[in-house]
Amino acid sequence: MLLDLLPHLILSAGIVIALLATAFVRRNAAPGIAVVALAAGLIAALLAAPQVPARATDLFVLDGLSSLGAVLVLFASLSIALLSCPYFGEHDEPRAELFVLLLLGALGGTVLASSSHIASLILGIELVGIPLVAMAAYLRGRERALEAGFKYLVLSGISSAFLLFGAALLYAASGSLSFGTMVASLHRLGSQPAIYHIGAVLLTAGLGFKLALVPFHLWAPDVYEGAPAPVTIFAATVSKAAAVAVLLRLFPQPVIGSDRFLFTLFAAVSLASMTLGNVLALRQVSIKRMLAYSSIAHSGYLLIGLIAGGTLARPATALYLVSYVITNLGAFGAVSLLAGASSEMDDLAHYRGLFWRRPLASSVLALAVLSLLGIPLTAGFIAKYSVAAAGVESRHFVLVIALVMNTAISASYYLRIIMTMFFDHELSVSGDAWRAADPLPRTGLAVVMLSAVLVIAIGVMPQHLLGLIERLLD
Amino acid sequence: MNFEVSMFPAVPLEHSLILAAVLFCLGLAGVLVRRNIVFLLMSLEVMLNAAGLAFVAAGSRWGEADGQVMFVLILTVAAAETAVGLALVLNLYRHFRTLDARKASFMKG
Repeated sequence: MLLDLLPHLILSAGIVIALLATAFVRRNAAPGIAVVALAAGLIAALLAAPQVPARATDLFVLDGLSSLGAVLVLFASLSIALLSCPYFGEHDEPRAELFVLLLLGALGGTVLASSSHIASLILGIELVGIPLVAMAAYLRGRERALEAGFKYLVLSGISSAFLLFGAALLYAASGSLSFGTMVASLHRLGSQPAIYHIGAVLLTAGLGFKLALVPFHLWAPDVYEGAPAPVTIFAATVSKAAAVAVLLRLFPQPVIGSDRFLFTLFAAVSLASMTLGNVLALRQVSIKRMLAYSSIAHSGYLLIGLIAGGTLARPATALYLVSYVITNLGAFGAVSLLAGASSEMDDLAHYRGLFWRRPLASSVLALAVLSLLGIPLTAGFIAKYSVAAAGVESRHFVLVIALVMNTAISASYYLRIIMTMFFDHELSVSGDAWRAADPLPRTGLAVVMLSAVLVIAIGVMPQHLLGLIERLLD
Repeated sequence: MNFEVSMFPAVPLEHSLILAAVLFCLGLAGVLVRRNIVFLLMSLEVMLNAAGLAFVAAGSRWGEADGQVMFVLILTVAAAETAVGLALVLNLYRHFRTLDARKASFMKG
């Protein structure tokens, strides 16, 4: 059991060591410690993937789903740490705290992925949310960063309250706080559908906030735009991956499929998210804001896998999550690599003719955008295909048709990013932050290149990943 | 299983849940309507405590201490959230010279 909990333990130890080392030994020790702790945690999560589900007290369950979530969370956090070193190196802020916060957030993600009890769910949600507030507002000199942090604080507070109230109602109805018995006894119950439905809706609202699903998406564009670029990656990948893992554990499909009310609710949220996300992304000129709306749409696509019953649904959802996280690491990673102290490289105009100046970084960005669009031979295509297949298998044709139509809408703004980078050659450079002499930081470039390689590898040979996911979720 | 509560007539579960729901809605209304950042955070606390009250009520229905444990957990979480929130409020005030949430909001669309 102790071995199964190794990633959690390594991260916790890393946080304490980083804090003590910063205070007593060396002011700039934290980045190195954070990178080592995240790498060690990732290795532990890969090696110690439990063969049989193990319970650690009532609070945690360690199985395939939890190790998949932990690997995703730690891989993303490690990439963010490596991208943060050069990014925050250009700012004169002391940056030890940022890495401690990042470790805390990563710990929250792994806790969420393995939580099987309302108490550990709340602990995980807050461990992801509160460090994200502090990280978003980390560059205190920037008005937008402060605004992003404050908006996230208030809205995540509201969502936590919704989640807690919903959990309290479910507890009142079922008499249990651990997921398994709660869902099972609600299944048997049926005599108090009102309180059960209200509780389930409120609980899902709290989790839907983390996923930026439509009625709860208001924070996403502002936080993605205002936060420093590496923190934006955290909001887009780590906190989403953890929330999806919780949803997969909380609602195994029999519950959603057999309950007409819950099914209609989830389907409506999915439809609204993909449509609104894509339509609002069309008008954006800020690339981070545009990708924020695109990530809202992607949460909508992902939800199809969650509500489709059938054998394909759960692997499809997990596959979508993996490909979404890796693709967004590439997209936001490239943006954060290009950003500097003087400019956040946020305006789409900064990307004019970028390919001719930064061929590697802009190729990665282009590839990631193609994967988000779902072009064949990229991970995004496989993910969209398997989610659509799960939808067809369970005969939810409306959702699948909406997926296809939304992909068509999204092509117009995804291709706009690529066109801007490749074709506006003459209009290029004037007044942007780019300096011809500086090469891009090597580690950061390696991180985004790795995610690009993974995007192509999954796109070309999906069977390995699919087999692995099916074994893990079995 | 059952605690010694028989000295007083028990409050029905529905009543305490309705009270919690009213408190929750008051807090939500406060968050949505208030412009002052400090009052905004206070309204958030009201919402969280309403959830805590619902947990305590549910725990007493099942005769378990779990609901009260959850309430203590919520208190801790709310304290952490407030600590970060107040630090942020100080920074916001230094920067914008106002505590009006709407005057400190620039990003749109």
